[in-house]
Amino acid sequence: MPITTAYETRIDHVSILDEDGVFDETLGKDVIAEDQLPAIMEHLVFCRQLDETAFKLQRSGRMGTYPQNTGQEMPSLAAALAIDKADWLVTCYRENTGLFWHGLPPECILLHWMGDERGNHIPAGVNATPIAIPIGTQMLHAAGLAWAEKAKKTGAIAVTFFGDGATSEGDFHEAANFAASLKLPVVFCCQNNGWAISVPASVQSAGETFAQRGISYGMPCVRADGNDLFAMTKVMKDAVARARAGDGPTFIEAVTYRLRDHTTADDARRYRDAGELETWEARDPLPRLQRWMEAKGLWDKSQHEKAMKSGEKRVAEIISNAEGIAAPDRSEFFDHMYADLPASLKRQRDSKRTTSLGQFPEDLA
Amino acid sequence: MAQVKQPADKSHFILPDLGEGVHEAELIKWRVSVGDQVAEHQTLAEMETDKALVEVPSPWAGVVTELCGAEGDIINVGSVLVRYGESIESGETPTSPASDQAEATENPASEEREDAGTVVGSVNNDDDAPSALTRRRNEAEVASTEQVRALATPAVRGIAKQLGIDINRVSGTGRGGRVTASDVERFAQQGAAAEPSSIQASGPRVTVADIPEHTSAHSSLAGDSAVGKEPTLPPVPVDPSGTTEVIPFRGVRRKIAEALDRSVKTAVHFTVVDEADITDLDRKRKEYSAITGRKLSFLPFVIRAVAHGMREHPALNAVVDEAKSEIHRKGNLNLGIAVDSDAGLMVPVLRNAEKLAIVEAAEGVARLAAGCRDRSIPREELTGSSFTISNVGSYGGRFATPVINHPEVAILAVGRGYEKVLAKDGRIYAGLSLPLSLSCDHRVVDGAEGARFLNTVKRLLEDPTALLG
Amino acid sequence: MTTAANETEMTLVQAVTDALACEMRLDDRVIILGEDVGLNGGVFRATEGLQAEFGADRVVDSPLAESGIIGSSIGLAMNGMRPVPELQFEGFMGPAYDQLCSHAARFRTRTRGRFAVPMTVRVPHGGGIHAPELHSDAPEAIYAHQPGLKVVMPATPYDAKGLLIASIRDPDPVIFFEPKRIYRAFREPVPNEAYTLPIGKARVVTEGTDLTVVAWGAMVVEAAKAAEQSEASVELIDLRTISPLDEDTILASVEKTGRCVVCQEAPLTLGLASEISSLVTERCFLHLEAPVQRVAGFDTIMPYYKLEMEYLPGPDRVKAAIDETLRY
Repeated sequence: MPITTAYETRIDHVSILDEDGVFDETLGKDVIAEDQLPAIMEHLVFCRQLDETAFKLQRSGRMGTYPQNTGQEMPSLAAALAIDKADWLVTCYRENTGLFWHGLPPECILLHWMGDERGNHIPAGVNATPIAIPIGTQMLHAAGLAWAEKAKKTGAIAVTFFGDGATSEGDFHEAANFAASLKLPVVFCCQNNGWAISVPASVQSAGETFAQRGISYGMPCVRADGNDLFAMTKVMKDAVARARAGDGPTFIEAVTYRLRDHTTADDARRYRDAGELETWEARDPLPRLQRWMEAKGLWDKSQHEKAMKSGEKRVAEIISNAEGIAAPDRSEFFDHMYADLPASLKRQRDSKRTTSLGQFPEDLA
Repeated sequence: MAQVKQPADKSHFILPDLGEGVHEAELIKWRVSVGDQVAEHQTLAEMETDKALVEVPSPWAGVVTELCGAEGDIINVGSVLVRYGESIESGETPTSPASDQAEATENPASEEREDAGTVVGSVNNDDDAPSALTRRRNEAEVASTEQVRALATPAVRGIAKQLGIDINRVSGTGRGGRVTASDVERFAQQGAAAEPSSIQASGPRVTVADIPEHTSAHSSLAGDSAVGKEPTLPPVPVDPSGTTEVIPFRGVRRKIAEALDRSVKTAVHFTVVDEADITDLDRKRKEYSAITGRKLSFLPFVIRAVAHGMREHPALNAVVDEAKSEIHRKGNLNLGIAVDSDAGLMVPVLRNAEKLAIVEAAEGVARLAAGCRDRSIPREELTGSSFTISNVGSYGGRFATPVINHPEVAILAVGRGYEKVLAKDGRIYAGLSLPLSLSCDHRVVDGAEGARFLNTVKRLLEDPTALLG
Repeated sequence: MTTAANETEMTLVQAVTDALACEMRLDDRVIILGEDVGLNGGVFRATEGLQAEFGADRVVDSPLAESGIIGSSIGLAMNGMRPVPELQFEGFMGPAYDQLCSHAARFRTRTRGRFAVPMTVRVPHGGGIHAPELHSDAPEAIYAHQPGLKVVMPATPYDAKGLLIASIRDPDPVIFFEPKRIYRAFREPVPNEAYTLPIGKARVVTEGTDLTVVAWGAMVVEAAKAAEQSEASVELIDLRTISPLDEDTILASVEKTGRCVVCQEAPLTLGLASEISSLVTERCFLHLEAPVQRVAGFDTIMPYYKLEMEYLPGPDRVKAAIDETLRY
């Protein structure tokens, strides 16, 4: 009997606006409305400024450890552009641009890294989850959130982000499997930025791509240039539509690069080649978009200066808001342990001690 | 009448408060027996409170299965008086339903397979759980009891137990009404006089040493005494009238007291006394004083005499190891010299006294005494003696019954030399006589031996040439 | 006891099924998921008949992935559903530990109340069923030690139904341990309609005055047997909720009796009995007439079933502890 082909597939790589400024008019048609682009550019300028200022805040002791998003602005923004207000963004910590576009107040991000849990109090009406610290665990939550939307028949979906390192975690696999097997309306987007702290992506997977991770679950997989807003938005829109139509999840690999250190506590020069960084600096997504928009007459230097000024002002305001928040009540960390605090916990909170809660504590005064 | 909650399943009857805060009653007489079918209101027992003799009726009908007490017992309110057999509404252990089989069958091919109800092992249906587990309509709360229980720390409860006292009868004066160690102790003292009808099972085994307030007492009598812990009597109350000053009995004073107590309780003391004619020795002493430029007392000479004496009577230069029941005779003479200090008696040690010349001995003693008076003397110089000399004469005493410096076996008290009419070879003269009192531990040193030693010492003191030669 | 018209005699596992059915009829946010829970009705038949009644969208056979089951349940709960995931055996909670303790326990406080996780995780618990390894463990202390979770363990059918419904309605994550050894040990009348019992409230099974015995799960049965054999007047308390602990009931009882024995299947060291012992010592110090004793499994791995009854504390060990405590 001849050997037959049981299954074969292929991973497409989507690029629309490449690093040389070449724009594929066919693929890029109607992906993003031209009149939306100036607002997008302004947003990107502001986000980049906030990211760089956040770094300085940490270095000057005004904020704790902070993971810079610089270089990875496009994938999450593409998702935010592709989804509706009722849809969910379930992110790790390099998706600020998308989260802010989706409605999350930037103060929240700063407060989180300033050690204030009130930063995780996502305002009602903003469908986003807080920063996810344990790696690779949030995609299951996205699957569940999407599952609830499916059960409620709302038509809403979830887009979840994670890095190349996260795809090594068991929970990634379980989430993808659940989503595909139960046909949940969730989009998986892996930001392959080349590094998991100091470990290169080649250690996370022996495969050619990360996109092919999704094949085994039976979900469509695609790879796109993560520094190309148009390519990312296109694949996002396709995936979102598929999910909303009830066809289940899609796996997107966004090929991008972490232009700064893993966090402010890291020094990438210890393990990264300077030449590699230089190569990717040349692929920086913001100048790429800016140059193309300027060439197309959709943006100019004075608009850019204006955006820089207003961005600076907005950043200062946000920092002021975040730093100006009233100090939390000293026993605030008890308040949300449960909907109703059990008596023993109330006692701990009120007495601020765990000892001598025994007999005749009043005698100890 | 205060409420005691009876069990809903009527399995037992709890003795209620029989009238106005009564906590217990004596069971005088049972009026029913085990196996009896009793009717509601039927008298179960006659009980006597401190107010009256009462009849206790059964609150419901039932069959008596157990009488929880014997005639003459004191029953506490809140404890079970009578147990009943199965009442009409008892719960039943459920039988297993036929549908769920416990064992999975091994036959996969059979058509009809009982659902094992589990994928591993077996979950049994026939475990007989006690009927008490099945739900009662009313969620049971913790029932209160009329029984008064004292509040007390485990440590204090331990004391009460050792004193054979029911701590629940002691009123507490501590924080929150808790019973303290003093409360127990006080109760114990009063208890010796009052409370004739104490029904506690254990007889009193009172040890003053165990009362923690007198913690220093712990270290004294207990432990290394060869005599076992004897029961001692509770302290006698002291009449406070006329007291002008109260001095705390602790610290060094207390330690000394303990040491003396121990000595007297271990060694069997006897004392022999004698006097030495030191008329000649006195002349010698004055000579020495003039030569050395140092005022010498008789003490260094006595030390010399004792050292000589020990060579001939080594039995007195010994210490007793009570723990091992051994007598350790010593080769050298480490002499304890009793010194009076502000804190009381101290006994520094003059080491290797047998090697010392008169002046050396005198200087040694002076140094030790000074060290005691200004409390600069180190601990090492206060231990290790094998014989002690106590110069009672310096206070003006004559004879004494000195207490042995435990664990030594003998002690010599030297009185004040006094002018006396003496006789020698028929000649009468006014001479100087030195009183000597020697106490010995009769377990180790017999009377003859002790007397002989004293005689040797006396002889040497009466013969300066032999003493100093 | 006679059964009233609106009650049915049922075993503990049947009470679980009944609880799920009652609540799913009342609240269409309730969704069951787990391995073999749908078509098969659960390996202990705890979800028997539910998929037939409520459909495969509400009683879902999930992939074989404990972390996946819990993680997706967290997402469901965060977004308005009331998931009741099942983990098939307590021995397989390990893979789900991270989702339970890093997320389920934390989302409410992490987001200052914006997100909550009203999820009830059902897990068969404990030994004594002659099973292979990892099907007989007692890990309740691990989860009782995690702030942000609640841990419940009924010992009777009536309690199981009322507590499970209460757990499903609870706004916070509950781990609902079902003592598998007594899944079918006895029956009692259980009301047909939905009802709740308070989480965090113990039950006094029998009243007594000589000493307090505290137990939970299958050990309640063992303790009850021991109490029957003992001549002492034993006050037996069934905790019903492991966390939060009903301190008041335990303490009121020990203040009355002055003596306490705590019984658990779990290994002795660092189990809940140690916590209760500490609590009682601190709060009943002046009432104690004997040290608090802990009857527990040994500090070993639970042996394979040939020796499992050597490991598990039975009425003998409980009675010995009662006697020692009384003699102190």
